[in-house]
Amino acid sequence: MNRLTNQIFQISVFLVTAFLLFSCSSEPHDDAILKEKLGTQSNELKTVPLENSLNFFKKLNSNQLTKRDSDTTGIGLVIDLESLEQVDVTDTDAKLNIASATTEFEGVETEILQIEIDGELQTVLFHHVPEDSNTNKKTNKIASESFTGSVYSTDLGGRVLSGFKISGGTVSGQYNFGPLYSGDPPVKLKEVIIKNTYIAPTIANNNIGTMMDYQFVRSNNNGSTMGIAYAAYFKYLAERTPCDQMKNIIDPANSSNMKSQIDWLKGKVNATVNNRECSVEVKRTMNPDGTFKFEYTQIISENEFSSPMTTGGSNIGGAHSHPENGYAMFSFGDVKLLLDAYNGAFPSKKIDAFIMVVCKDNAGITNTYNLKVDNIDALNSHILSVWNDPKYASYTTEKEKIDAIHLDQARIYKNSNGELEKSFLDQFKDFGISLYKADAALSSFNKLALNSSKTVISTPCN
Amino acid sequence: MKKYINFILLLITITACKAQSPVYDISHNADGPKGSYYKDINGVLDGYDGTYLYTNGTTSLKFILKKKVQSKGYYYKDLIVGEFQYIKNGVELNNTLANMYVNYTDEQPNHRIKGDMILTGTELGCSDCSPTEKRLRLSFVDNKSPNIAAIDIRKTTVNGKEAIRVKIWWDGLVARKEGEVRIPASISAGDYLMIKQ
Repeated sequence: MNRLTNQIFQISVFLVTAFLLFSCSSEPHDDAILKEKLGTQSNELKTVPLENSLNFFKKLNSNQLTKRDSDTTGIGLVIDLESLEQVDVTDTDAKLNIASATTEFEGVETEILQIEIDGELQTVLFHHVPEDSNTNKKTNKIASESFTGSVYSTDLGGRVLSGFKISGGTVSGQYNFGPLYSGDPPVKLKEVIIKNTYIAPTIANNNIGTMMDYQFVRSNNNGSTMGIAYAAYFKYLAERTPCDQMKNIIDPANSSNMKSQIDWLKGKVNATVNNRECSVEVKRTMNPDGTFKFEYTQIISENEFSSPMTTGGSNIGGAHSHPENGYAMFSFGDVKLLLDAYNGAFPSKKIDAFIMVVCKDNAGITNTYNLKVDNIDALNSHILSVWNDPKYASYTTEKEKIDAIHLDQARIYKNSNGELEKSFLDQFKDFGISLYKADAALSSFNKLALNSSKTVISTPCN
Repeated sequence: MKKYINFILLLITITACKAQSPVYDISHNADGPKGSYYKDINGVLDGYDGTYLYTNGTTSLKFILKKKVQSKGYYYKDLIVGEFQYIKNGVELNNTLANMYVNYTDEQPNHRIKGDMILTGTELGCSDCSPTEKRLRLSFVDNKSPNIAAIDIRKTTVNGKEAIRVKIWWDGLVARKEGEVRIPASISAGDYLMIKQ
């Protein structure tokens, strides 16, 4: 398990523990009792049909448009209906419905969660608020190992239910909303993150008395089980390794697997004339039954256009071919595109972001490579580092800068004596990405890496 | 007196050594210190200067190419730069030729066509190239769209006239947001036989 996974896992464990503790105000709090509580609460969870959530969210959006409901219009909540998905929750068969949302709060990532608890439909918002710093706003994502900021849960009107301080990816404190505990009107998120007057972070510990301070609006069980579901969801995401994702995308049992798309690109690369770049855009979307599928769009570069790769929302990246005149390896632009795909994807789909290339090497062998993000902060900072390199300061547009970087990179590849894998791994060794290579039959991937003597080693994805 | 002369010579030598930036051949990776000079030591960029024209009915493509020596940017560089005019079915889609006559200190960022790479034989394509044939690899950055192309240029002759065989292809994926309208480039990818004017 890598560092990022560890960090997210730590947050998940903390959230599970914290929410369990909230619901147990007068009881001893040892592990056995927490587990017992978890089991009890899990039995009370029930999946909300996707259609019901969709209709519910549509109504919320409609209310927002017509300003009919001051409860939800108060924070400008708009739900991205396309991002709605149903995710597994550990220790229960119930599933949690999650969608991305925007609010009036700039720079805040929000998700809406819905599940049935104790026979009641429960809906909460989770807001990830980066620390107000110019240096980390662009890269400070919740799924990042160095996220620093706060995570708040609120109701649909933006009334704060709980809040945690996150420092460098780990929970460092919890917010004490004293006025609420005393029965005063609930604190609005706006007041917390804009006025910033109600926050009094304390160090996270097992001081139950302190923790109980935020158990103010919702019932104990409902609050904790929703937290469990959310935490378990992030744990699920964190535990999906790049190898798991790549297995899924070429799994013959997966009816929407990508093999035929990769074969299409191989056909282009192996054709007598291979003078155009071709691409396959990939979307990960949900079936009506809650399972996932991949959707593909094939594009052949036309006379007047470079191949496009759509980013944002459910788009998780894609594959492309290199014409015979190009180098048989990823370019800097491809790596930057991986970053764009990751940053643009819905929060729950970022982990699926990938960029694949099909190309023929000097020996005439057609290879399929895949790039995955291991550490989004490292990727962000190193792309920025190249972007801001004084060497390229005189290039004022993105296309000019990319071109200049590519001219330099082409020289590096040319001077690599055909050792393109080694050259790529060396050029991008600190970028927080991993390089994978498929076998000829597309039945598995191997991870490629450089050892201490700068030799490429290949490790099977098992 | 001799001591003074020796001292002055030593001083000049030390000063000269300190002021001198490294000089590399253009085939070297661009990873030297600021002020390094990537020089066309072997003259591989010579012989491409000129105005070249492709015509096919009312469609034409004109290139002006010129070798620039010691262009000053972060590095000093020898390179080839160029501009173009593209007329399609009688309509001029783009014309940047006037930019060829502007003197820039730093040439590379200011021209649509630029580069310095020489390829040999079938290296990176060109299946009909002889094993020793040299060709010039340049890049093209469109000023009217986000598209970037690569250009291969091979020297040839047509009816005794100097000419170049040019291959243009779009290079690299372009990220776009969903629903974003794509802007067509002001030049068409393809193969062009261009006669030196």
